[in-house]
Amino acid sequence: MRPKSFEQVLQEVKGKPILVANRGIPARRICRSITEMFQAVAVMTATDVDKTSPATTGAHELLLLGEDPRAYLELDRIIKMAKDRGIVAIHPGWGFGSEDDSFPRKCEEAGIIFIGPNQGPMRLLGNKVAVRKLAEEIGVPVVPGSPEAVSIPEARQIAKKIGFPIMLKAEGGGGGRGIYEVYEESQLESAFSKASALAKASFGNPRLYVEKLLTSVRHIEFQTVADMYGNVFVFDERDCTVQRNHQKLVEITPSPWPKFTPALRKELKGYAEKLIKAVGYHSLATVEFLVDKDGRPYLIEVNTRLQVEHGITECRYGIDLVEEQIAISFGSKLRLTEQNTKPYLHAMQVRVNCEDPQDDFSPNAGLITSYVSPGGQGVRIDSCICAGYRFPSRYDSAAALLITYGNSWDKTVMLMRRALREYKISGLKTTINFHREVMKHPDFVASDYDTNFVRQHKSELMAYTDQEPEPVRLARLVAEISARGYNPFVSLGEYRGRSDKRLGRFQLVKAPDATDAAFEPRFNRSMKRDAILDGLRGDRAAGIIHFTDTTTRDITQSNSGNRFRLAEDRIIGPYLDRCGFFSLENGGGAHFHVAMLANMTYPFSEAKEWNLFAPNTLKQILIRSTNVLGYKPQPKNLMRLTGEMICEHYEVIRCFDFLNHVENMRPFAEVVLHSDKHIFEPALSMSWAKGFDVPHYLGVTENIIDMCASVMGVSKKKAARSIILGLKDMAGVCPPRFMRELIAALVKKYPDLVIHSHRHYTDGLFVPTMGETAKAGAHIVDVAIGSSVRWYGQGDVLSTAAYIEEEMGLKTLLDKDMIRTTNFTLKQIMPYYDKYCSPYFQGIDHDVVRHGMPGGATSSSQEGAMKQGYIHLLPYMLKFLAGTRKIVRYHDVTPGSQITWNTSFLAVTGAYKRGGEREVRRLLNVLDIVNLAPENELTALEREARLDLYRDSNDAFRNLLLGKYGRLPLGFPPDWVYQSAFGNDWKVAVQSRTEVSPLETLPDMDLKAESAILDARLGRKATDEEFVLYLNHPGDALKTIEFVETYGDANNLPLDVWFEGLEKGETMLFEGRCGKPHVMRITEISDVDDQGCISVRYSVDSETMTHKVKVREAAGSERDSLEMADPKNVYHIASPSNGDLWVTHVRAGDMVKKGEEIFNISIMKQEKSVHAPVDGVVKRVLKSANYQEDKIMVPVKEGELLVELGPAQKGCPTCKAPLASEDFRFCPVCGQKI
Amino acid sequence: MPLEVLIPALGLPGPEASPLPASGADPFSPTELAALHPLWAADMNALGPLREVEAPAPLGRCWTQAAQPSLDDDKTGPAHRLVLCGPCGSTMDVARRLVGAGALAPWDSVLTPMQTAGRGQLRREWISRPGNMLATLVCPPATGLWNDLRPLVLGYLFAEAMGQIGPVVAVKWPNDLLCDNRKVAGMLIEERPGCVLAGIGVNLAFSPALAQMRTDFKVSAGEFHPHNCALGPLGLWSALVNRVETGYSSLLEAFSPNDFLTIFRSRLAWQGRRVLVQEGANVRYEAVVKGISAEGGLVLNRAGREVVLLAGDVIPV
Repeated sequence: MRPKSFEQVLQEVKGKPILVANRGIPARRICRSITEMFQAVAVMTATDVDKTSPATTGAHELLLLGEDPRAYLELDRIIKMAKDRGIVAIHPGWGFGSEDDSFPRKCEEAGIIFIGPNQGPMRLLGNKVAVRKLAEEIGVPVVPGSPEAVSIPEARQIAKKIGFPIMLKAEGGGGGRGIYEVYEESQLESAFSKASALAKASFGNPRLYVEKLLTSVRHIEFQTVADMYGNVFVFDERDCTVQRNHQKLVEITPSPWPKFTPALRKELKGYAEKLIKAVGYHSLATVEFLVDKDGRPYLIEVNTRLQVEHGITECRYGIDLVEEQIAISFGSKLRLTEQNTKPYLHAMQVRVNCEDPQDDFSPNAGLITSYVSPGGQGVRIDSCICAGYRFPSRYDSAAALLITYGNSWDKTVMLMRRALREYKISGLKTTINFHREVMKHPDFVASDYDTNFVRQHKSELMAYTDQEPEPVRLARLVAEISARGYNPFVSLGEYRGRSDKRLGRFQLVKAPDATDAAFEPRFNRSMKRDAILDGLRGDRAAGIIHFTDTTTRDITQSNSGNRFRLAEDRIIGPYLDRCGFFSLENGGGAHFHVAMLANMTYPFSEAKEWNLFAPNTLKQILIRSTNVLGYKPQPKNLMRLTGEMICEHYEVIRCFDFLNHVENMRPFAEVVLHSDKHIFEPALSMSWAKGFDVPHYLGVTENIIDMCASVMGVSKKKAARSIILGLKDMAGVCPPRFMRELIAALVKKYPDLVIHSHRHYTDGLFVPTMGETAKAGAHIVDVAIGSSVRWYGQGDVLSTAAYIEEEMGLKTLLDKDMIRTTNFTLKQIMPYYDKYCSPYFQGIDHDVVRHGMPGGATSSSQEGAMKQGYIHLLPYMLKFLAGTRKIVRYHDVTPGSQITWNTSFLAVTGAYKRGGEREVRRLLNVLDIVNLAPENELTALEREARLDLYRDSNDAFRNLLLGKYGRLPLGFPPDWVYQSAFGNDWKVAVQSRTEVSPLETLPDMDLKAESAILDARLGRKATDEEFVLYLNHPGDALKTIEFVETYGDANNLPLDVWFEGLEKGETMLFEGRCGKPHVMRITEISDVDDQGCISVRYSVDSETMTHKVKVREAAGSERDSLEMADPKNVYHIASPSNGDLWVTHVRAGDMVKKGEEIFNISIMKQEKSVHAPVDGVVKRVLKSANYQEDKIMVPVKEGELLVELGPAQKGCPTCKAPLASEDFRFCPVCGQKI
Repeated sequence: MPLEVLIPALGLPGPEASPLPASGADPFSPTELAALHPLWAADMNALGPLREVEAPAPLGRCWTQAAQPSLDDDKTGPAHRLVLCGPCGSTMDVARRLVGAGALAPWDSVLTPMQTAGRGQLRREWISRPGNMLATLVCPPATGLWNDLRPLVLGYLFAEAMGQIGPVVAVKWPNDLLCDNRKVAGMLIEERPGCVLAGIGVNLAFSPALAQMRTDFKVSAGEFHPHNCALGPLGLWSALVNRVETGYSSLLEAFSPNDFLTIFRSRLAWQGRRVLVQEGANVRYEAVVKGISAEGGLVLNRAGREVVLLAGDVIPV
């Protein structure tokens, strides 16, 4: 044949049909070349799953192959169909039939051009043994070893020659299977026999051959192209060293490996050309070498087809290999010469596969929910997917080939990093994240690695979190809330339904700007402690009173269960910052816990953000002495760790102990007082009751100042100047006159001590009491913004200020207009919290002075009594509270208030269960008598009766009595209390009482071990904050960490959506973490289906998605209806596995002996016989079968209860008949006396 | 490894009140055995001269090879025991009784020329005529997935072993052995606490006609013809036990259960074929065989939906 010119071939092929016998990426790639220069008709084969795949878009026509996924291998059928269609040439692509050397012959026989080599050269180069032989003949180096299978002595001889380590390769193996490594001669013998036996067992062929084991090599290959006239062109190398189990993952040209020299390149190119020429090969081929770390090359194989990584060679040279390949098959002369084809770019390809690298690269198929491909300068992409495409499981997992190219290696890497950042595929897992890690790895960038790169750096390369973008995750959360109508994460139960009336959209109306440009805050966060305290003293001397705002912590804690989110803090925080408050109490107490329990927010991250949006005003936190931010005493090292983190975000640390056991505050004092920036505010827990009088509290204050002086190592006078004393009337019970007396006494004794008064509104006397407090000498009082004031928290700032200014004649430095602006804003927020977070009692209860139940506890206790059906007993419970406070005396402050409430609840409900309301009244009567009559006047009967008072108390109350929380402020209660609470063990209890701080006995926590546990649980390194959260509230911290990983920062959702979700057809605007706006719209919310799921269809920005929300268990779910055996119950006989029950040998009432067969299960023809584990009588037979009779088998599940036994009954000693009852005196069968 | 063949001369009297009704075996002499079928004659001939020994109860006086099986040169351990008993109810029951008495250990086995109550799966009758191989193998205990996969493992290993001494054998899930789409051998595994037995029947001399088999759901039967046509039941069994044991230990040593399933698929019969499936309580449907699931179940495509069969049976349509 005479060589044709390329132009002649173009003429010849134009308009003619060319078939690609392939699918996916190769088919699409080749169709592109067919239609470009050749302007031919691109025909593609397609099975049923592929006929609508994105890859088919490039084809003009499809050759439909039907249902069978393996039809691409049916060459005869394909050729016949091609012939019928008039196809002029067939391109096999890669994979499938491309390496079947009968393909060219079959095409030739059918008169169709095969776009590839001829059968002869293809067979020769494609055969590993033959090519090895050829290479040795023409002087191309190969991996040393035996050319064919050997015996042990032969193996030994060869091994000696080539040196260990060696590989024993099964003749029948392949694809990485059947390879056994031997590292030293002494192992050879046993390895050989074992490998041979294994080869026989697994491949049916025991024969082995020997090859040198190359331990550190690079994979370097050369693309060649040759025409039918002996012209060969060899391109520069492709470096495919990044592999996993011989699967290439990244391919690069030219090799960035510093040891790959131009001389080596020239040498290897020479070998490649020799091999191609030696067999008279035409078309594309790739000659593959391994190169060891000393630069020694070994030929491994020749690929006689177009390869997956051909694209990078095209990018390096600016050519089209497929075009050239097609032209050559039609007889064109090779156009490429050393003169006209020069390399000028660097290129790299990564294989984007639908595989989960973190799960050992397991393939995953499924719907691609969104697809954004990278683009721009230096990027080429060959893909077979798009959004909405269901990626099939039947074929390989290749989704896209992503190439970047530039004029240097560094540029190529940077381009690839950028392209991988842009590439987004959702719905299934891909290797994109993995490649991002590869591109970051310093060894990769420096090209310092071998073929073991992925295996050796596995832990680093897999350390990524495969997370979808936050807007997508948040939208999924909104879909879940919308489907249900309530937000399960706020832990308020099913507080509303989907069709319930909504409060409607939260659309904040901004207040008219009231900024007073001249306003200068009196105190700010950059001031030092002493300057602030001196300022407070100076101001008080001038008659100026300061205020602390509790709006975002205590008042919403008391009035709406702490549900106030960071989202709303972000709105009002900037206003609060400019109102002229001394400090903003924005953290601590239950707020810390609820942040995680229900607001799904990291509390310290919240505090950090506060200091960004409200940068000026001091921030204040509340700490519960030993309990810190939890509910039980914590070890000292944890207290300190938490304390240090607190100091990062707060300036004023108010700390109280509900027993006023001052030593309990010491570890905190140590952390705070050693800084000149932070202000320590130890607080007196206050009650208004017998024994808790002015001298008592002066004594406690003395203790506090002593402790602080000892921590600071200074005089008492200096210590008193360096702290703020807090007065904490949490119940809201201390009347104005008492506060006046107490503060006057404090001022007299400690004239330099700054006093900060905190109380609640419960008794209704907030304003006059704070007025007296201020007048008596307090420096700071706690208040809140009016629109958030209900009756449990603090009082309103403006009314309190008015009273102090106008009635008491003092001054304040508040910016009242800014307070009004804040108030206006907050008024828009509060309705949502009122409706969903505090649907219960919110009014004044002056009786608090009797029962002493503090703040929000009044509301939550009522809620508890209602939910448990004891609302009618609530008046009794409150009476019990009033009485018991006189017996066991401590402060009505967390956690003491909870202990008192629980004790009362248990005592009253316990009495009610014993004898109804009459018994409850009797109990309260006894309580009255105990409190009224002196001990010596009690009758024996009354002394007996009072033991009922604490008989139902719980461990918390008992621990309190033992002193486990700290020393009781007025000493231990009388012995009969112990007798009542501890019963017979009461004397032991009295013996074990203690008055030392629990901190003395609590061992330090093993922080390292805890940290390891958390890291293991999260599967990554926890942050410092996560660790502290976890140590304080393990369960809820994990819940929040998981939530944030799953959905992101829920504070980016509007308030109404957080509580109510969206309605069908509704649109929501929200912002992402970096302030980017997003839009979500719900188009459909289905009814509940059989699976108990609601489908929500929605769009996020321009992407449409569907999320199934499980709202209840599937109707009649099989597993639910099954009774499962209790594994710990020996009488429960379960099915040992899933399978078919085919014979049951017992019926209810049968006696069985231990070891007797009870039933038999068949699974995969293994018959499992199940025996009685003990002697017994059959109580129930839940499922039975008798296959031999009725030919029916009964499917059973593993663990399902099939037979329940009961204890063996006694039998008659004579006739052995079982006795139905223990009471029988005579055997009913034989009459034997028993 | 050679087998130590023991032929209990006085038979195995069925113990009184035994829970195993068919665990007895008739007294039997080597001469009687050889007279039963030409294949047995060939076997006895190959076994060579015999001598009498006194084995511990319940075996009692037995014939065994005159030449003690040589314990070779190395570490192969003591020879496995093969009890060749006279006509009995079922080798399964005989074997269970011997295991209970401590007379058999893993890889030991029981062989008989005739059974009166041979059984297949679900107590179906297994027609047992002289000349066919009827044996029970004591299985080694296995844990985890290997325990669940035992039916497939044994099916695969026997198919592999038979394929080495005769024509290619395919496995019909879970472990029927097919030559040319005819069932030539069947297997039944009975698991009881502390004792797992595999019963194997190979049609060597005779295969039941369709009419003799259960009426409802069946594959036609055929015979297995080893390349060495002088191989009788004893010869065949000796060859199989050795190969299966070797294969078993290499398999468990070198492969994960998952790897095994990949290997198993290569022996699975009827892949891609349409079959009739019988499952549980008379549920029947047509489906296409797709492969094997990770638990060893048969993966079927039933009208486009993938189902996994763990118990049940299939026949080609």
